[in-house]
Amino acid sequence: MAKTKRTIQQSPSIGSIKRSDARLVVRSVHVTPRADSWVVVKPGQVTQTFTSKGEAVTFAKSLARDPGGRILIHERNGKIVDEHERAPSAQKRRH
Amino acid sequence: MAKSSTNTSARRRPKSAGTRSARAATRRYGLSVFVNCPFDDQYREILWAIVFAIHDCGFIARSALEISDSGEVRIEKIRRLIGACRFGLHDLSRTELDREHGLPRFNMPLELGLFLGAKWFGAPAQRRKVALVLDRDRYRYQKYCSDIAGQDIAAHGDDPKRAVGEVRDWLAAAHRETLIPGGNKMWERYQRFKNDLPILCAAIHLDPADLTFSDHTTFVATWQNDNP
Repeated sequence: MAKTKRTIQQSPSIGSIKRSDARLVVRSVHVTPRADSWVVVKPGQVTQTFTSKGEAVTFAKSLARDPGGRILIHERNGKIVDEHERAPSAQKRRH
Repeated sequence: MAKSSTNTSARRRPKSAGTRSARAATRRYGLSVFVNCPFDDQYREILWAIVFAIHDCGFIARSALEISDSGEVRIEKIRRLIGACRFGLHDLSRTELDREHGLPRFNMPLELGLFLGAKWFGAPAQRRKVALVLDRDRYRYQKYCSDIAGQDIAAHGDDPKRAVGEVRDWLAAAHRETLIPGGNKMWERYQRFKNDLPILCAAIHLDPADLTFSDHTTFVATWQNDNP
């Protein structure tokens, strides 16, 4: 599967959150730091703590919907990295 | 005698866009709840719990806070919103003397009066309005607003959980054809949403303390849609 990675920029203005942005963050699996650990959160469903970031990301990938699963990694420096697994495009048929 | 064939499809008139939009407006009116509540820091916890409960019951929370057009006179915003909402939730618990000015805060009773006026003197659709009056204590209103003695007033005791239960019971009575989860279940769901909210805000670089009414309802509606 093709994988894309991008950093989410700051929301343009408070008070005007787009529904698409809200949907994106609610449906994503989040990997977020907590003191000495990393927590994986699927909003409304799962919250699990791990000692290492690698384990947390692996677990998050198993939770993200396939294809098109989305993982948001909240880095300790404040950046949000969006890892998006894209399904391969269908091959064109030749007649 | 041979029967003449009739083209039944020609008899059916296409539904006009006006009819469709009128039906959509009527449906939206029946699901909208005018939230007449304070918006200060001390009350915010109760307000967010009430908004969550309204949406969890399948309704839409509306408030003058959702419109930020400073060019419009506030009372006009309130008038339009009251006209657009069949239900009205009015919390009078902050009808007390302002510490700075020593004068009573009367916006909530005023808006309750407008809502009841629309119900009694308005068009047939407005007469179907349903109001819930909330206060801190059940009988405190008798000291400052005895005209509404006899109205069914619910008390939340400044407790967000009790407020969720009262809102749930009120809307469940109005929405009999749909089974709505109980107040305790709804409170558990609200706790899960509250735990997720800081992460959702952090993902788009927002501080939860800065959320406006519109931002909050967007997150509530989206979260509930994905967590039925």
